[in-house]
Amino acid sequence: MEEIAEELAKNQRAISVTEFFERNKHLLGFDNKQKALLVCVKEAVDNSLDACEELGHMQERQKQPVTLPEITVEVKTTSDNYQLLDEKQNVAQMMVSKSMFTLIFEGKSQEKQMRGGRVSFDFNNVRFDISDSNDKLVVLMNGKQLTMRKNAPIFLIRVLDNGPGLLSSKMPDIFGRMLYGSKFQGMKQNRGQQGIGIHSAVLYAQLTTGKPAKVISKIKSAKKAKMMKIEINIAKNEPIVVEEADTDFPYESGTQVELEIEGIYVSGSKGLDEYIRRTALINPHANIIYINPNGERIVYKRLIDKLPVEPIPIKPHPHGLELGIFTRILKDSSQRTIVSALSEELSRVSRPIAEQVVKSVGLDPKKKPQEVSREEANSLLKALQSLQLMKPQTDCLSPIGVEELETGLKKQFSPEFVKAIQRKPEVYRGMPFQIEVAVAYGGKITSERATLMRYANKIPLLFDAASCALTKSFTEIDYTRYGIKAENRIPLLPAVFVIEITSVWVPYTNESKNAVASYPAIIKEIKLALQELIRNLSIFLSRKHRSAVFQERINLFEKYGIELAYYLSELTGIEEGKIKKKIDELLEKRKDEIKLNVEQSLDTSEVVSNKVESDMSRGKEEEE
Amino acid sequence: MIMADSSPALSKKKRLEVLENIGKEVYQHIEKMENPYLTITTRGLSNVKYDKESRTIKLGESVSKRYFLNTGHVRKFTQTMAVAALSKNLIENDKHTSLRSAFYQIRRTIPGTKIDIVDDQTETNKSIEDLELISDLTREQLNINANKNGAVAGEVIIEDRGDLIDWSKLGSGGWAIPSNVEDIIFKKVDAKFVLYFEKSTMFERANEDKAWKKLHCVIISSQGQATRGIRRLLQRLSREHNLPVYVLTDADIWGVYIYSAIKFGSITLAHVSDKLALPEAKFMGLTVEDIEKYDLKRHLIKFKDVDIERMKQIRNYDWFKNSKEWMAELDKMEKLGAKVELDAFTAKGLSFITEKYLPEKLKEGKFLD
Repeated sequence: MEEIAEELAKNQRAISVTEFFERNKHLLGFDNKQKALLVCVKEAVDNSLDACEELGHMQERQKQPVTLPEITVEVKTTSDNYQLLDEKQNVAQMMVSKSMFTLIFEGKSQEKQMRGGRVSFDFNNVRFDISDSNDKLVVLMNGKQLTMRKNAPIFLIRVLDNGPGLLSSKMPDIFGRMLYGSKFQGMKQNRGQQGIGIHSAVLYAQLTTGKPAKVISKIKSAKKAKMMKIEINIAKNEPIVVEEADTDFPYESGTQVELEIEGIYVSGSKGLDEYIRRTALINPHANIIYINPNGERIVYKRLIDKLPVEPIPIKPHPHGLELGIFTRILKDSSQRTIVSALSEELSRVSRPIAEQVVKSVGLDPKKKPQEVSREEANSLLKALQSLQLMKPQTDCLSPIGVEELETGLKKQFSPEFVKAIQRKPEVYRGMPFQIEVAVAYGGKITSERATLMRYANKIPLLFDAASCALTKSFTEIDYTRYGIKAENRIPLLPAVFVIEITSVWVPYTNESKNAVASYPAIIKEIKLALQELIRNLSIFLSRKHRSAVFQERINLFEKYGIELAYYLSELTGIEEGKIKKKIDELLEKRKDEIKLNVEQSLDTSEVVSNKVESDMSRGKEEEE
Repeated sequence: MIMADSSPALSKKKRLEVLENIGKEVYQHIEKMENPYLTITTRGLSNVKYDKESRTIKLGESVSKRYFLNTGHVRKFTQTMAVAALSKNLIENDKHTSLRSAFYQIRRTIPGTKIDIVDDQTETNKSIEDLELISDLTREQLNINANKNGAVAGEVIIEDRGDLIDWSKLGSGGWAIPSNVEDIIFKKVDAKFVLYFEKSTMFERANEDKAWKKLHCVIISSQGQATRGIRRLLQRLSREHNLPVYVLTDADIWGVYIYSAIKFGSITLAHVSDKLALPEAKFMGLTVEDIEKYDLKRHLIKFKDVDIERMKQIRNYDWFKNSKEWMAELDKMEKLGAKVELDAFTAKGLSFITEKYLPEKLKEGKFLD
């Protein structure tokens, strides 16, 4: 986002925000309508979870009872959606929800109810007449009939939380100003940092349906909640509050966002249901109620009554800084000299180091940080990065936790085996990060091949798997070394693997933020974690195999025992039942020996019957 | 050494006792909570040796134990017990069964499973051989017979289960040799020697020509390897009536081994060599010399890889390795690099073999030993 912000700042006069959005929507994840629906839900859910956790952590600090997250996500289709064409030229958009008609023409939208099978719109002398005869709609523009082409349907997204709520004075800016809040405020692991910002979702809604965002928010001290319908003035990048009212709210505090967007709902591994499922898995401290477009109500109950550890904001470490952020740090700094700005705003840069660096690039140590040019900043940064500095502190992270991961997996899959591994924090390019992995085997998982669930800062990554460091590490493991069959380096097991990277700054491959960049330090950590995990899984699998083989052998001897009893009875005249009982006794008595034989034969992977064959081998020539 | 002509063999009571004891022993293991086992002499080339004194192949000392509580053994163990039970039943009721029928009599599915006690006849055949080793009783003594194979003709009268049979009055087919010849009684034997053919086609030729009458002999044939019945019959004719036995096979390594099995016994049946081997047997032909002498060279069939491979194995058998005569013959055969079948004689006239070859060979009296 930072790069985009700069880009935007530079080009603000040249092009409008809308144009910029249009040009860059592939970067933001709006390039297809299936992804767009997901991205909008994700933005709202991430904000809600972050807000709830912030409230909880604040309550913890103030030694108050902690409110745990309650999130409701509802997604439903509201309207049919048509493009209106004149001689194959796209002229307007029409949305129909029962008898309500919405028309968008030249960026303006109007909403009207159809009465007596007719409805008309007037946009500055351009007149639309819509009539419904025998369930067939006819649209005339200034008397000329238009062709109607059905488009992706319109969805209403509603996300409700019991977070701290928003001050009504801040609401318009938060939802209605692009890049609001992108001023540099230190580095802290959270979900929102990963996203494109809720305002992008609001803008997308506005561009596809012409509908404003409807936000209801209540803070604890207020009696009533505030409802606002917020639009973005695209030309000025300013919020417009089109409607405002006081209303009721289900929680003491919290926020509810409603967006209407054009989208496509799909099921499967890249669909909305899966996204929510994976979100619930990684947030076992949240109660999540999800109502999908089919009207199914899916409840993911809270499994752990404990918030994740609060992440601590840290100052950026020079080794991980990019020029854009660095210049903004200098601009926003309240320090009076460049030397104090460097030593105060950055981590592991002492005053002597700052002085040395400033001197080395020939700058006046007393120069105001706000007056440092882009070129000067560049030389400063290069000089800083060429120094051997202490690694940044790593206690700033809030990983999921072994118990949390295992509990989530147990609840969702009722697996035969579950295991999570948490690595110690490490550093890539001056950025602290931490890897957690987990596996669930069997139970409700019935697929032949293992599934990989990727997460970054507790957000599920559903797209761009192929270019992601998490996938790469996963497929670079030689599973056959652990006695696990694999196909194209994916284990052939009914299993779900989880890989999560937690960092104050997750390095994504691009702005759609679905794939983690392949830094060697990150890949190394993931592989070490996976190796330990798979060793554990492998031990479980071989135990399982052993007990199956043992049971098989006991069954085999039991079955042949029935026959043996019969033949011995024929030979000796002793009663068959008596012999059978003795054989059963024998099997029971020698159970341990049989078990030991299983262990030995599996350990040396020697095939018992082969050995026997050679003992009993016969000459090649055979009579009769 | 010679024990088998004490026919009828072991008494019914004694044989039943042997089988019962096998069962009792296994049951005792179970009672003592031991892993039940059977001790079986190892079969195969590794455990046979050539006994110079008797000039037969004998089974060695090496034994292996077959355990019930062993996944690799349990099936064979059970099969052997099944055969023992079957055999006991047959002996008790004075019934005999064939190898094929034995398979069907034993075959059954273990209740509640998909496991059949035996899947094909090779399994019962092997179990029967195992039981022979465990019980020291022959298959015939266990009342299990092979299928009839081979025919005999000549001026001989025998009694078989009360029927008198004249081998000279049985038309073109001759008398079909049963697998158990233990109980037949020779009433009259009017012959100077016995002639064994590898090929039934040659037997038919000789029988049609009444060669047995002209040459005053008994003619016997099988198709391929001589069965136990044929070998026992050859042995009895030789031992009980002092008849020399001459073997006539194709001029190839497989023919040599047919002779070898008749004379020294076979590797797989080394445990019954006493009752089957016939060290007095002589090899009449076809020799490599015969090929030259009777101008059969244009009927040569080039050796294949399997022929050469088999040749190597046979050269290594102790009972050939130490015979200069045989090594020389095998050298010649190898040098020729091709074989000739007995049937090649028919190219020289249908009765060439009986009218020319056999009389000349007998007159010459030169046989490989």
